[in-house]
Amino acid sequence: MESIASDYFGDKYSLRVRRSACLTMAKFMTLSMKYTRKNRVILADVLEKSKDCTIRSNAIISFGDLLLRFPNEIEHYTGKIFSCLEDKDFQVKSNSLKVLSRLVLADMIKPKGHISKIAALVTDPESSISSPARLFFVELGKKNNAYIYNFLPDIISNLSGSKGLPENRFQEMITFLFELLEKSRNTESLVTKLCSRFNNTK
Amino acid sequence: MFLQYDDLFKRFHSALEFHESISISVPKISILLNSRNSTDVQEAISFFKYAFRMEIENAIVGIQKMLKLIFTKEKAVKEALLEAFVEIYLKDSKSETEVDDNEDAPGNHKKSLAAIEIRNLSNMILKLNQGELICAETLIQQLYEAKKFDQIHLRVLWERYAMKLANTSPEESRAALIIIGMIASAEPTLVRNDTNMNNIITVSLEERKDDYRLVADTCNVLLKTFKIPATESMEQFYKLQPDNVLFQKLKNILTNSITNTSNSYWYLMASSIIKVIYYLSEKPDYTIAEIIHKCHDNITKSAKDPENKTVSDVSVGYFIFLLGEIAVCLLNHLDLHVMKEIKIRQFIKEKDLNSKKQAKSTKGKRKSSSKSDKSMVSNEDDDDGLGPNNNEDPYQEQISKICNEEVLFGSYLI
Repeated sequence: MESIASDYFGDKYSLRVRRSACLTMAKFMTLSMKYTRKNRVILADVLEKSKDCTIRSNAIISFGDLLLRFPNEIEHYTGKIFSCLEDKDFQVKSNSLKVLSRLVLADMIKPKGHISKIAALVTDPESSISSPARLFFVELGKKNNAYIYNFLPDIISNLSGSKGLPENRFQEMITFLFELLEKSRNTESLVTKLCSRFNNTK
Repeated sequence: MFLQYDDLFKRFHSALEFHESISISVPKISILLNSRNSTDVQEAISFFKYAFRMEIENAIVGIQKMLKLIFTKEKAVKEALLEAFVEIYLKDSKSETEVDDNEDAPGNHKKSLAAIEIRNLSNMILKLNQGELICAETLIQQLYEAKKFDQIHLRVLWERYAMKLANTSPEESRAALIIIGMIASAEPTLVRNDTNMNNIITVSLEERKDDYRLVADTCNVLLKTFKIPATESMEQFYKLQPDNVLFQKLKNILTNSITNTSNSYWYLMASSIIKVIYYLSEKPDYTIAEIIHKCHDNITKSAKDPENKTVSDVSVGYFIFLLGEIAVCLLNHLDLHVMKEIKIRQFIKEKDLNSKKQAKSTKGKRKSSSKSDKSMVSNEDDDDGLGPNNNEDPYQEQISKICNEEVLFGSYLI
């Protein structure tokens, strides 16, 4: 089972067999913690390296479920799931957005710096990606408006500048996020945080 | 004379235009169904009810969208919705005029009425997508609980399913099965009773076992008979004997189909069969073990057959999928069902102990002897390892151990 799943490039086994194998391996992992510990590396590699987008989207969904079942075992792979938000394939992006929104809104994982990747999707050209991304931030704001205040400095640092989003998309995203902010009390601390970040810029 | 025809023609023309403009307005009014104002929603429901009965073209789309309103918390909207569906499907006035033409005996009259209503309902059900089917199920459950379905309706449904009525197509039979399943989720005894169960086994699993989609739907209906019992009522799980003919048939269908790769519904059918075996059999492990061995044998046999080299990789894929499904169902079985069964048994034991304690104290014995009785009882508890404080832990641990280690790493099966 493991050998089929680790055939990332499709050299040895056919597509159908590999798809079934990855899915079944994920199901075995939900059953047994021991199996999870042994094989989580393979699943994480599948997520990165597999050429077939169906296998990758199935792997993301399985990771989401495994995080709910065995949170401690899978914790340090959360970075890999977040990087799937930048995947080329639409299905993979959409699935990872759905899985991550569900997990973050249920407080199962803390996005920390990775939240900027979700913010980048708010202005994605595909409406079926940008509207769930916007809905995610709206729900996050409803849950606890302070979260948005806390995340804004990270979002701004990661997405501005030459490495980040193009200018117009960045402005649209920031306008959207600012509209979600409510109280004025936290605004001052936000301004202080942003000013302190200016010191780090070139 | 031409003036008359001219007039008639103009009338038909305006009627058609009117019809078209109403059709165009349907999508806009569907948006009203999502309004927060409950009077808007009620008016929209009323509109679709009339539009459908007047056979406006895309009114059916509005009806399908209305289905999701069944989950609304507003009582007025829910009532309006139920009433609309009863009027559309269960009291069709057009069907009354159709039947008046046949001068039949009163019994047949009622039956033909029911038949037409069920036919309309089936046509709607066949067009629904997955999410809408779930809404329809809740709707039908509520209609059944409000006693809107008669015995005659049920009889017509069973006959359509078995294709005993003339001119029933396989699709219509499948729709009848789905509706029976939806009613069964409100009333599990409908399917649990022996005659109906045998009926299902004969029709779906013998006569039409090559229609994988029907087999999958049949298994879903059988699953509706299953409910996790509440601890306090001490109900028993509804389980069948492992050598029941149902499981034999399902096993044969699954093992024989693993090498048949042309049907796209195999995955659907296989996962529902495995679920039925785990949910309804008293000892699922033996049946599952036999299935695994037989499938494996069938695949190796077909691989050795010189003509079939290309078929085998899909079969291998099927086999791997099967193993995964079994793993998930096993987890469900152990974690939920077995634990629940243990809890119920402990609850029963505790209840017995409490009633014994009460009986002893009401017999009026002296305090010291009743104290010693109690200490004797608690000693017994400790010996059994079932004292009220730690009754769950040893079982929970054992189950986690089985899940974590023995299933995948133990030597007995794989």
